Amino acid sequence: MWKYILKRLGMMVFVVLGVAIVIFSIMYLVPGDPAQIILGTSATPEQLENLRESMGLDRPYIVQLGMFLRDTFIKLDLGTSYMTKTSIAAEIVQRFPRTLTLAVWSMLVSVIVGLPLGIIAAIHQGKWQDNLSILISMLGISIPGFWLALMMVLLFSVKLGWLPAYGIGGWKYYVMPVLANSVGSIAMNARQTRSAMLDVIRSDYITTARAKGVSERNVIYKHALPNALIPIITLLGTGFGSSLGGTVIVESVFVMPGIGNYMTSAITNLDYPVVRGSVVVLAIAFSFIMLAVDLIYAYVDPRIKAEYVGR
Amino acid sequence: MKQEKTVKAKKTNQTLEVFKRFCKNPLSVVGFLIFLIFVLAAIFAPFIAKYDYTTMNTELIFLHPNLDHLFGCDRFGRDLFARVLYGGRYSIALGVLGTIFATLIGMVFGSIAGFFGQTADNIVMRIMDILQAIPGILLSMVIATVLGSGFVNTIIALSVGAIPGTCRMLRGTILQIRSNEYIAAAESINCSKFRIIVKHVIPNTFAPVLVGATMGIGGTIMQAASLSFIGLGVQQPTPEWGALLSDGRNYITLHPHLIIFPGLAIGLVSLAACLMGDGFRDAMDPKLKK
Repeated sequence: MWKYILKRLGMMVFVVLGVAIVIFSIMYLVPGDPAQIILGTSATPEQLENLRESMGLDRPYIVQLGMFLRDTFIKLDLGTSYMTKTSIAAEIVQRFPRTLTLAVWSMLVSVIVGLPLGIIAAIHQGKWQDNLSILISMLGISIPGFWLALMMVLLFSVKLGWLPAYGIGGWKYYVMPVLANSVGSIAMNARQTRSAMLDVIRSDYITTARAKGVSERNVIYKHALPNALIPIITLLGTGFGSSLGGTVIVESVFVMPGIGNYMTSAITNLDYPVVRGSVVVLAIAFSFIMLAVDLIYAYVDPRIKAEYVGR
Repeated sequence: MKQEKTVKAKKTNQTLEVFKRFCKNPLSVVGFLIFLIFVLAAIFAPFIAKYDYTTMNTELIFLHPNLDHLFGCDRFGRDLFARVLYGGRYSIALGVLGTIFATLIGMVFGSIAGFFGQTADNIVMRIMDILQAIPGILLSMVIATVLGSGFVNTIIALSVGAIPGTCRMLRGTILQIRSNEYIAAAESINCSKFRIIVKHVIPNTFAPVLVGATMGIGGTIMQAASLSFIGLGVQQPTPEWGALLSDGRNYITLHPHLIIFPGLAIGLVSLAACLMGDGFRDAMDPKLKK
């Protein structure tokens, strides 16, 4: 098991470094001169030249990349925003908890609603429960989250006045963002759970269990469900990824001061270091979750453990 | 000559069989019809819409839906029904082209990884590991930020964001196909690797690729809309559905029709694509043949 953990940690370091390099390189290609963006059109050529030099923009790509990696991973410094001239890392530290709360709750809701939907559908395959669950998941996949967000604002904030339409505060401010962000994942989870359950129910050991007279209830909850849950664990990881991605859009709808909102306003303002820093932080957060998911998977699925114990 | 004929006859039978099974499922037929209607409506928009989608009319600003202007008018008094119709040209094209490009690029990388094994596989999959650590929509956003807005740039951004997914899917499919006897047979008669890939592997990936791509169209349309919504992607005055939503979001309290109709269009097309994809999957699944 330790061997696996070590290997997985090594991969994680590789992926995180890779993400930073990829994002830096893509953003390096951005057209336009950062010095010009910061100083505006009224700047003299000397001012521009001085700023470029002090920011290291005149150095070759590979040196700039090295500087970026050193700043990011050793100094934990993501640079300063072009617009506000404040530290990006400090801003992100302040905003990160909100984005994380939103993403984690979205994932939890998608599991709490999605799994039972899928299980019920699989147990009652072909009956009305199944069709209803398929219909719900179809709708969930087809409705754009940010559109649902706007519709909910219209109903719950404008018409009924139950929930605040934007901003941040107590739990009430999270209800609509979490719902909007989780519809897609609820549907995905329900579909995947249904097919995972169906695969297990068709397998031989379930037939055996039934043949020896185990009650249908026990067949489902003791034999089928635990085995169907194993592949579903991986879903949690990818689900968290799409939750994190979704927060960017949803935060923009609800004007929630998280990383996503920071990033979208930075895009409009051409504040590239902020975009770069936000994406790197979100990707690293996602990598950590994937690491956790893989370790849980290895712990739960004896086949992966066996692969490493044997050697 | 005779032999060739029988082989051909068999092939059409199989396609026909899949088609028949597809038609037996009412939901997938409905999905197909909805999608077809949307595509036709977008193509023939000039003949369907009563009004031009760019003509502004100060007297009709924020007009609510009525029989003459089915979806009402926007903040410049432009007919929203016409804008949604024309918007379908952009949104559906973005969804279809984005999915096709992502699938093609995924196919190239997937076949390199799945077929040449070991080193090539390792390199491609490690790159995909890195790309996959960035949620797809974020990757698309970064690319769109660098390239700027516009139709072609949005297609590129959407496809790059979807590559890790398609690449993994195709690699898995190709590995599965590779383990079949007919590949070993082709290798044993000294077929070149290129020939095996082009003649024997790729044609057999078509079915899963078609299913995956059909299901992907809805998601891609939605991603395109999200990009336009936050100010990337395709921008106003182009009537792309996400751009329409982004344009109307500030007037949602008093004029919700600006938001409702473009959103319904996105939802319906995605639903149609999803139903179609499910239909293809079930029709092609050999397990369900009996």
